Amino acid sequence: MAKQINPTRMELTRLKRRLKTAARGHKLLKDKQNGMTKQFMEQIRRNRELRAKVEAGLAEAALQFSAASSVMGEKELGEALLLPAGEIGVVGGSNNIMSVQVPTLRSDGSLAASLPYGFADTSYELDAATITMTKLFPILLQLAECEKTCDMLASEIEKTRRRVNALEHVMIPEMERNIKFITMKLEDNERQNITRLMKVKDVINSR
Amino acid sequence: MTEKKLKAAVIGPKSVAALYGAAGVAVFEPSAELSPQKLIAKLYNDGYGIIFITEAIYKSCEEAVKKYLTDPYPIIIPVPDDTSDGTYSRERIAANIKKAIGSDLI
Repeated sequence: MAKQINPTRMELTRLKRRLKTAARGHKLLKDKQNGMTKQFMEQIRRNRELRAKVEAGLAEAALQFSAASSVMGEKELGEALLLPAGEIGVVGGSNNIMSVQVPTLRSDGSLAASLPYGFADTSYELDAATITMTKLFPILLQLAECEKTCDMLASEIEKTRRRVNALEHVMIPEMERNIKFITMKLEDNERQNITRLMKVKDVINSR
Repeated sequence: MTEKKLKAAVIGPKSVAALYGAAGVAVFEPSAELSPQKLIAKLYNDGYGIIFITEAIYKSCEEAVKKYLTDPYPIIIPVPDDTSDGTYSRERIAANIKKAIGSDLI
């Protein structure tokens, strides 16, 4: 690499400036990576907790649902849930974590709607399953928000880590090598010049 | 980004997804004409911000989901179905940790 560069003072100044910028960029990216990793660890712990809660809640609801299905019959159950329970109220925004735009979700309070069917042909088990699902929905929203945040942070951390590694192990060492090469070349030129001058002086003195 | 009202949907077999319907989530079932990939694209175009997909279907369209990873919305996440034991979701979390840190230390 060092052989392809131009060993001039101008090139040396340019390289030194680039090295300074690269070192500063490296520090900033490293700080960003550390910050994101810290946030990621918090989110991943929350993700695991929420996942466990959702799985337990859904298993309970599924159990109640299958009990309702066996009491009422598949057809009646299908008819009862034919009509949607109404639109759920979810408001979405975004949050900035170390320049990564992650989603934020919140319920606008209209989640706990009344049961979407009449009580004449339905069983208690269906009511229980519907109520369990309605109660579980805010946790499902938290899980959705948390899991997407983890996905996005993981991708961004991976990208940042690659950049940090490229700067640390490729760009900065290469620039340092080039600077060393130019400095040595310039010093060599200087020495050659001095030797030449001394030789000329000797020739003049010997006449 | 300013806050906006979002729509939620679930993709899965009617027998599993009907539960979500009871909570007010729109239920969609993939068919021969409408594959899960096409369904995701359709729901995204229709303005659904949150899409839950049952694990078995999610596995089959993981690649299609990846292209929505860079933007905050839509949020597409797998949810357990009647055949899953939660292993897939745990593996996804572990894969994220490995991606971010390099190894699953936690």
